[in-house]
Amino acid sequence: MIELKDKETKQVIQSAPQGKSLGARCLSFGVGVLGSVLAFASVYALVEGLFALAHVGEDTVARPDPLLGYTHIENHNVTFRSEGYSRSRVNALGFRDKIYRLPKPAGTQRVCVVGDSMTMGLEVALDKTFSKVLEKRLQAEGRNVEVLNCGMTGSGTGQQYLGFRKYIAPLQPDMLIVAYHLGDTDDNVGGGTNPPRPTFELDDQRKLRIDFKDVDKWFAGENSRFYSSFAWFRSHSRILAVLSKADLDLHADPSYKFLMRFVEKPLQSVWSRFLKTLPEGNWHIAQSRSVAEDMLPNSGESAGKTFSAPSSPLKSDLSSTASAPKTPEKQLSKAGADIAAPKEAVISTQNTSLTNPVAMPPQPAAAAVVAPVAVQRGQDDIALLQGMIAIHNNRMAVTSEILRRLNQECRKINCKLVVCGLPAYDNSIIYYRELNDIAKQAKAEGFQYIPSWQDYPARKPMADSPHHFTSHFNNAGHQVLSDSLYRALFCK
Amino acid sequence: MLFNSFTYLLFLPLVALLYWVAPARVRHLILLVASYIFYMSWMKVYGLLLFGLTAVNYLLGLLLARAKTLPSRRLVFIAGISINLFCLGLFKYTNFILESLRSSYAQLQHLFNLAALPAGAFSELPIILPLGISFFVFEFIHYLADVFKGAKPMVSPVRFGLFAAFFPSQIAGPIKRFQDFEEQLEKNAKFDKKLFNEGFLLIMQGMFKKVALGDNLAPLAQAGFAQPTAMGTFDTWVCVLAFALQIYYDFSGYTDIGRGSAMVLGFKLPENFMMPYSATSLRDFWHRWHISLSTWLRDYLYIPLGGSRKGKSAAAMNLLTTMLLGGLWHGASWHFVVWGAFHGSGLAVNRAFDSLIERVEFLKNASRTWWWTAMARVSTFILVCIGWVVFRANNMGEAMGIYQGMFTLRASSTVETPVSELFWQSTLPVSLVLYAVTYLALKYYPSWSLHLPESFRQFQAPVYARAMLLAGFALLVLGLAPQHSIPFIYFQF
Repeated sequence: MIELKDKETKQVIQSAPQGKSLGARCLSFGVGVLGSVLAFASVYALVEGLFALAHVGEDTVARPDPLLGYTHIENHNVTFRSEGYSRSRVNALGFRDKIYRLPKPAGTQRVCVVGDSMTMGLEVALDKTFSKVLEKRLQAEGRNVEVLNCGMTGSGTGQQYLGFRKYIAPLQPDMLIVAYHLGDTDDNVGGGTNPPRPTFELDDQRKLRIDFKDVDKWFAGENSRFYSSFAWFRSHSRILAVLSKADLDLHADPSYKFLMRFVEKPLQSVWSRFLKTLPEGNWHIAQSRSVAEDMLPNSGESAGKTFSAPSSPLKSDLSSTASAPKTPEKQLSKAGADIAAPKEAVISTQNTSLTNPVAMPPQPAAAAVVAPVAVQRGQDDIALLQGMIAIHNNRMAVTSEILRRLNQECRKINCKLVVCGLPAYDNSIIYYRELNDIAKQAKAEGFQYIPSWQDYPARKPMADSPHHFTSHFNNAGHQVLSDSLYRALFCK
Repeated sequence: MLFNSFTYLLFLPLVALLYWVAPARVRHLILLVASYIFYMSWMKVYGLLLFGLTAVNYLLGLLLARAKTLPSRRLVFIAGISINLFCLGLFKYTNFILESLRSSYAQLQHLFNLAALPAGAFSELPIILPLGISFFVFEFIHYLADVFKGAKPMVSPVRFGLFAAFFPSQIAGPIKRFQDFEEQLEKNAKFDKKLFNEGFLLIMQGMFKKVALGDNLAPLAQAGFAQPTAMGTFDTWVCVLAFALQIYYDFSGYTDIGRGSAMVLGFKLPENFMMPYSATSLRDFWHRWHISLSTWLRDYLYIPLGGSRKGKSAAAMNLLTTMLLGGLWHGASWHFVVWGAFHGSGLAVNRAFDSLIERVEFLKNASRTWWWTAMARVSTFILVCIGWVVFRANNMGEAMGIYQGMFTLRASSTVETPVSELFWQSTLPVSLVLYAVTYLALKYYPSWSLHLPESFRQFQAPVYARAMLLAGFALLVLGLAPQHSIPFIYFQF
């Protein structure tokens, strides 16, 4: 565009009659510049206006967050057109729900539901999400119960735990429902999102360590500065949202990937694209192995900031967090302050300086789905599966520690913890092992587990389901979950 | 390679650049290589099929021109037509024939208590339909028929190869005529800025039609046809209307991109659409819809069958046969045959009605009034929509479910999101209004601009303003596109 402008300007200058004074030339140059600015502004306004009419470019929900990696943009309208459709508003706390009062009105029972995109339910209207269906049903029965949808897209159990301490505990819930879903344990290892999320692991004494190394690195880096410089525009400009999405799609495009590889390593890229072909069988095994290696827990040093298992009241956590390396200082101290924030301060998070949205995190890696493929492939792959189960056991130990902490935190504020297992494909054997582990833990530690997945018919991989669009619940799916929770928790 | 892909966005400018920079004598070779890359990017091995068929037809063309006696010419011609039809039949209709045999035997078995078929008899073969085969086989048939009738064959193998493989019209037409194409190759025109710009705009228009309109209409039709008996009457009509618009925007969008791409390379491909939904009769509709196919069917099927030369009933039969085969050309399935029969019989009735109008003075006068034209337009559109139902449905049962919804009063039942609601959730209300306003403005600008002051009419926006406008338009296409791109409907034919 700039090139065109220059060219045009040159043409204007060149076409100026011979002997034209400098002043006249400057004037025509000025007219050209003014004209292009005007043209840009009017086209921009026109396209932005049309996008506003069509509710296009309103599907950006997340922004970077120094504590959770990313969180939702507060006070933000979202029009979502993936799988299903919804138009709704994210409230001042970053939850897709209406605003609830603080302090909690006397005599009101408050239930908060945390979970990933299945809980957030952007594919259906807000009043069709299972939290709201449940709330409506209970209120219709004359019960004074509020059910808050606190789901965060792509979140793992660890992020849900941090989110609980920062945002949800101050809401004085009487019950916390963790809607546990496929991938929520794998998400605790970190990775897979931009910006990255914190990593959760157990140290030698089996204490929970939360590693913010990647998050801090991201916030100290170029990416953060880039995002911050566009923060306002990214929240308000639909055109920018459309361009960001196109940019994301472009990066996933095979031709684009090839082009980029070609620019970097021309010979290698041509070799691997056109000339080299691997036998299919080997390729599959190589693929599964790389997945398995990728899934190994981080045994490397955790140089970043950690805070060890919090058994003290919220405020004392701050000391361990604040002692961390201070890069960038402002943002980290903000994160620390937010963690320890008293109730009234939580509401003020809408004023955070980091309201720059980021790309939606991709869906959790379906590690549990990989395993059964390996089972069919003979002895070699059984060893692989055993390796994956070992990895799963390590990861599950982390989740179990997180749930233990969550239960303790809940007890401190007289809140009941409930974990509910959502349905997955019927061959997700590792996922169902996870749910078994949670059920046992619930029995031993005195929180409630609801196997809601049993209320859905078994579903083969990629098979159509009357309860899902493709991977997320449709209205019927939310209804079943709401009924399941109602029966388990509110039926006398 | 899809027209609406990033790969094509790289491919076309690269080819255009190479084409215009290269010396005139190698240009056609560049286009030929590019066309084969385009074709083989989908499935390499079928490049051989295209090449083989091209080579055979090229040689047959030369042979036809050399053969002196009529019987020998006939022999070559029939051999040529048979080879082409055999290929089309093998790749397109084998499984259809096997399936039809299987189901008819099952019927017979049931009726006459016959022995069961041995396992695996008439079972489906793993044949993948080569992209564009229906189009290039029709071009070959036209070529052989015209050379048989005395036209000069194409001598240059590169030019003939390019005629068969030319990428802007390779996958879904328009079906070219070799005389027009050869004339343009002969001219080897210099770079024409006006044609280039026109082509660029046509590509943009095609992208808008395909991506912003067609692809957004697709889920509406999809949702409706997935549950034909559950929709209420209103929703059924919305669904049928959505498909009628989808197939038009999808196919005419494709054609615009193809024709635009050809213009960027200095070629003009035949028109394929002329506002088909404003047709005043089925006959008129076929003069406006997929024009390159309907004229092919007329020239190489209807007229050779006898056309209207052998009396009214023979003409009606010929129309019916032509349209039945035309229907079958769209796909190896009975519902396409039914669609063809619907249009064939419709055209025959249309013909009879036209001659009635000619004979009866009162009707003749009435047919010249505005209200007659308006009624004719509406009723033709409804008839075409009725045809689209059986075209789109996967089987006759589904089509019957839709027809029932259209013509009986039915309340919506178990549909989770009604089709009409899907419409309001999509970006269609904005993009359809935008398209209509722009279309009407451009159509009527020449006439209403006469009322504007002369200075205003002479005004031409500077380059930067036009560039911004184009960028804005590209942004609109990008923003109004649905989450996932949808393949072109006519690719499967």
